[in-house]
Amino acid sequence: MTDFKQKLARLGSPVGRSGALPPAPARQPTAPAAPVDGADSPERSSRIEQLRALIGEVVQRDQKRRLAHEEEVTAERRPLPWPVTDTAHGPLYTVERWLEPDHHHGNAPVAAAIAYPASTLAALALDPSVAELDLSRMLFLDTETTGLSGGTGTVAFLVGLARFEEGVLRIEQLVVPSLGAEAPVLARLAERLREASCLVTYNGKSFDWPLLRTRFVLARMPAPPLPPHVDLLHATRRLWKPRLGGVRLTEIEREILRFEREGDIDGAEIPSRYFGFLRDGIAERLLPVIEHNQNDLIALAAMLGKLGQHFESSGADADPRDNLAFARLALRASDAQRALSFARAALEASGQGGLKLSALTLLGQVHRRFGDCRAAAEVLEQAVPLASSCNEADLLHFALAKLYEHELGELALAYRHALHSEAAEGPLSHGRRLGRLRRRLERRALLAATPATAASAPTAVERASVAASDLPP
Amino acid sequence: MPLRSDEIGPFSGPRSKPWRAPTGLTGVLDSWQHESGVWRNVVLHERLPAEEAVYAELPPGLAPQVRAALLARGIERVYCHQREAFDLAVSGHDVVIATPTASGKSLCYNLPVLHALATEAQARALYLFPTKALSRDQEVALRAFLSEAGLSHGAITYDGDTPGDARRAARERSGVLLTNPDMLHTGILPHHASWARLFANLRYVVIDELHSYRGVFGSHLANVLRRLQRVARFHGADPKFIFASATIGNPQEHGSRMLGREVALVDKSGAPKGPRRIMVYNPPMVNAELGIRASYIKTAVRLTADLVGCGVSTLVFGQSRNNVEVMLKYLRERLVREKHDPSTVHAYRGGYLPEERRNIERALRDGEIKCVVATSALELGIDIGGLDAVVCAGYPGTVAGLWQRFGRSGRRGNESLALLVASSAPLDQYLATSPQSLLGAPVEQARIDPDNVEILVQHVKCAAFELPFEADEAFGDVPTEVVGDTLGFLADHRLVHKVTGASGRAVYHWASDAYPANHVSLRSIGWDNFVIVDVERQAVIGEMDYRATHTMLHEQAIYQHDGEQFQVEKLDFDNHKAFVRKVDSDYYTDAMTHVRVSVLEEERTCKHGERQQLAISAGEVSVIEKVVGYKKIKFHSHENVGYGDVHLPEMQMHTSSLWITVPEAVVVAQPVARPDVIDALRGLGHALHTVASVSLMVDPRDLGHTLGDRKDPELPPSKGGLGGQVGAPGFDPTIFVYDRMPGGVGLAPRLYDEREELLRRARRLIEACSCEAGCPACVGPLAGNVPLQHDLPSRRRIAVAVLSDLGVGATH
Repeated sequence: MTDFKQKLARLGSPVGRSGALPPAPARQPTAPAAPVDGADSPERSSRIEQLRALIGEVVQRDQKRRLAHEEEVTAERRPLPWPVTDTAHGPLYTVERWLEPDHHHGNAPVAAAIAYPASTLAALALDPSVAELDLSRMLFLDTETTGLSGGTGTVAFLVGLARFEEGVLRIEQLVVPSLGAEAPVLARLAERLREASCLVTYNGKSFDWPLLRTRFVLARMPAPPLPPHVDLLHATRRLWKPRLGGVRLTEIEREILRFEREGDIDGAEIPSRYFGFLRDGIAERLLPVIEHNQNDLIALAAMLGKLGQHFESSGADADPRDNLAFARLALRASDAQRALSFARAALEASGQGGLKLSALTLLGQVHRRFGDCRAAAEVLEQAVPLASSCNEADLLHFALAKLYEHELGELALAYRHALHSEAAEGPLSHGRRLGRLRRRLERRALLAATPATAASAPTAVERASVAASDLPP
Repeated sequence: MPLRSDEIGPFSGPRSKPWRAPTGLTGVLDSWQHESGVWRNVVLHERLPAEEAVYAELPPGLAPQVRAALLARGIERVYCHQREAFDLAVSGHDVVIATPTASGKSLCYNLPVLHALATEAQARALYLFPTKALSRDQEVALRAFLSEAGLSHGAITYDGDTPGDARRAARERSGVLLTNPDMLHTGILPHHASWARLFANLRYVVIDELHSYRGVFGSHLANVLRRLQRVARFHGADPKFIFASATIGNPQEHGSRMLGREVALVDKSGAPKGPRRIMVYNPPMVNAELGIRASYIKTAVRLTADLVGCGVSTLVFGQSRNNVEVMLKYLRERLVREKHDPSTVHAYRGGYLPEERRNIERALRDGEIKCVVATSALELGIDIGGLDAVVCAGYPGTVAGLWQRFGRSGRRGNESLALLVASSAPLDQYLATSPQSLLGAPVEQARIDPDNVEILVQHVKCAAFELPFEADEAFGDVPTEVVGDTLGFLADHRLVHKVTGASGRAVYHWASDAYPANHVSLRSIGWDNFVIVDVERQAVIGEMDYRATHTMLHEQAIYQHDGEQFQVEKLDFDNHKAFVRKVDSDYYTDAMTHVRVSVLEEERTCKHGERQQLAISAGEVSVIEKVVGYKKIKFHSHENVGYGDVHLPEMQMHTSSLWITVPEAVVVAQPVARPDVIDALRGLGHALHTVASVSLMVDPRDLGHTLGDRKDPELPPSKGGLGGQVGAPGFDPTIFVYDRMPGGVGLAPRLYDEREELLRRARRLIEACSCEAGCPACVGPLAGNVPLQHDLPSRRRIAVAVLSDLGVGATH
């Protein structure tokens, strides 16, 4: 109960006023509904009077605050310190900055963002539509807003854009100088989006872009068609979360790019900075916000460069957890070569624990996926003794049972593993598998055996069972 | 539904009917009149004549697909009110339809909506229902109608349970969106840009169950509608509103206030009604000295069993969920004894799962079920058609409520029965002694006050979040001057920011990082449900709303479900689950609740009366409702066979209140015993509550009242917040009248402003009442709901005497 509602409820009880309000016709229970359309009927004016009285009461007791407020608005407005261009939609305030091709953010060169082929970006984003694009026309976008809740009352007051021009990263930040003056900003954004080959954001798919689309609707401007949109939040979640735990932009910046921001503004403070600026026109209030937004844009480019670099590398010297994550991504992106090399790199540096199990399992998946079933079975067999829980072991046995039965035709081995796969497979299908394997083993034994030894055919099954009992539980 | 084996046992094989068994309603009435002793307790017996159907041709301009769909359903003509509603709606009027229950109101609004969808491919409509269950029902019906008319517009319910994919479909494609006011308020309007297609093409807004939106909830809805119209206008649409209401005293006025402009009224029903008998049955006295009457529950069961036994389809309304289950149990047992099939009786109440409810409705329509015992859930428009008889066990509290229940009786052509069995509660006994008043009684009016400042300001905030305000913009029917003042107030609080727009006019923009709709709740009661898990079957058997959970699902409570008893073993409050196990219990439980008000901050106070003896104050209070224990009530005998403790978190509410303290000296000076004076003061609290809700135009349920006093040592000091030292003035009896909404909506401060008039009106109400010792209309029932007793001192006279001593006159 600390919100505005409570304050208002408290204000709602008049202080220093005595006597009841004048009885109003609308309050009498038997009175008919007050006419609502009569322009200047006595009922209407009495209703206005009544409501005004009630509101006036609330307002009166707020005198102190009002005075303070009036002092603020009467403060002299200084012209805004940013370059202004006249556009068809009104004056456009922009803050611009250029970063030379050798600019580093922490340990990462920003120009690396466009230093590799579009196919790599397509793999990182798991979005094939990016594979053929001209990456030099990539547009980075990050907004600063008056709130995080979304909805029509949240304004993107600073739209940060960045793109490469001949290797130079050109940052262009569009400032909304007052509420309701978004049109020139939105028009410039639309223009940049039309020129761009793709859009790169951090959490832009669920936050920035829906918010901006809403701004276009409210400004009664057509929202431009969106080029392919790469949201790096999804990529970093896949690739760095296993190691870092969290994937906030500043965490990535610190841990991956080795960049430490100094005096960075707290995100929660940003809306009030802007509201303060709106009231008193002191543009300096926004400087930390503008710097914060610039850093976000630069970090975005640097991060993309880092991701691309790692993906292009073979994974040597990298943390095995990162390599595992990259191998998974390459597997999902159907990049056999990379998946294999990342998985191997991960395995090499994985030690003996659970990481090795994950690396072996993944390597098995990669082999299996790209057709080398023999190799898949080999690594999975290596993985089995490392399993630390029944659950993990069951899954491996299940995978091996399928491999041996369907791909390698080694029914005895398949049977041996199938004996342990019930939990992973489910009883119904597991029962069918065992029955099927047993029948096939028997048939094979019958065919192989001479008629004289046919009677001892079940021994194949027995042998498999005996062998199975040697396996670790 | 499973039956206990001992219930099925006696019912095996076809029953051979005795030759003289009466059948049908006439048979039952005959036997009541001539054989059993029923008739001498019937205090009212009125026959209402049949009403002929009044038909009209299908509207000539009706879209051919819709006409074809109607014809395919065998509808060649419509009732006149359906035609009238259609004609008014398509000619651009806002309409309120107020015809009796089961007169085909949904067709009144579905017809113009379908017509619009059929003639305009892009058209959209928005339906609002007060509950989720109702929108799901209508969604199914509407989809069927749409597909029969060959229309590909979808109909989707959008509420908290709608999955993500369906949400997208709802935004992009659905022709009809069904939702509730709360979702519109927090989920749709603040995101209206994502709903641009809906708002740009919005032709109709349909609001069913208009009568349920009254008091504070209704005032909130009126403001939500102001916002809705504003947003629609932004997107270029000007939707027409169609309201459907059950019987209330002022449907047209209510609709006009709700919408902020005139609405046309359709209240002449063309639906036929068979002849009806209206009866009131007052159970006989069993102990004249103590004024105790036979149990109304058992009486209702007995009369219902007579009806069901004769094949009369019957709907029984109970007052509470507990009553419903108790009646179901008794009814089944009785039917078994009388060699009838007990499985033809079912209970139907809010806690049942939706699927179970749908099955009951279907079985009732198909005749597989002969009798349903229900709480008021059925009042809310669930379609089961008419029945041969309705039995109300106890008066529901309002005339409108009673007629809504009675309205469920009446199959076409045949005579039907509507029967009220009076309980021994004072209100019921009051009606039983003057039953004629039921027939001519004015139906309650629905009151709202959309201009309540607190509510209005909240919604102006939400509206400013949705769209910036122009300086000279009105807000629905709120004049521009008032809107301007409100915006100025919000600007001072830095919630909106004033900017001079391009045209030189001031524009107010939302300027806060808050999401205002999240801080405004339209209703005082939470929506979240508890699920009830049967630990033996590991299955969810029901659900219960937050408030009822405290009284129905506390640990050790007997939870009754479809005639079976379960004991609550564990109530997992954090995860909203109650674990129950089936038991064979010969008692049920009844929770005891205490309400305690303590003063947090006294903001204003003054002395009143000729001798300045009456202290009247206003300020902030904390209202604590706590279930402190439960009683074990034995089935059949209804004896109290034990008590138990309940340990549940209190339901605490921080709100604003008015309180009136009567000095101990005045209490002592009365020539009657102190407890009687206290009872009279409690009655004065009731009277204040009544006049307050009338003068504030709120629903009585929006206010609460209680008496704080030291007479009951179990109650903590009622003004403990003010020091609490023994003997201090804080221990004088104090009447609290408070806002029954968390945070308050400014009702109590307004009462304080009008305190003198309020007291005068309360005195007039008590003095002018025609009753002897006190009745529900003036000083209200005695605490604890004890039966009406005639040897008590007149609380009415004592209350008047106290007021006189305090110098409160009726006129000055």
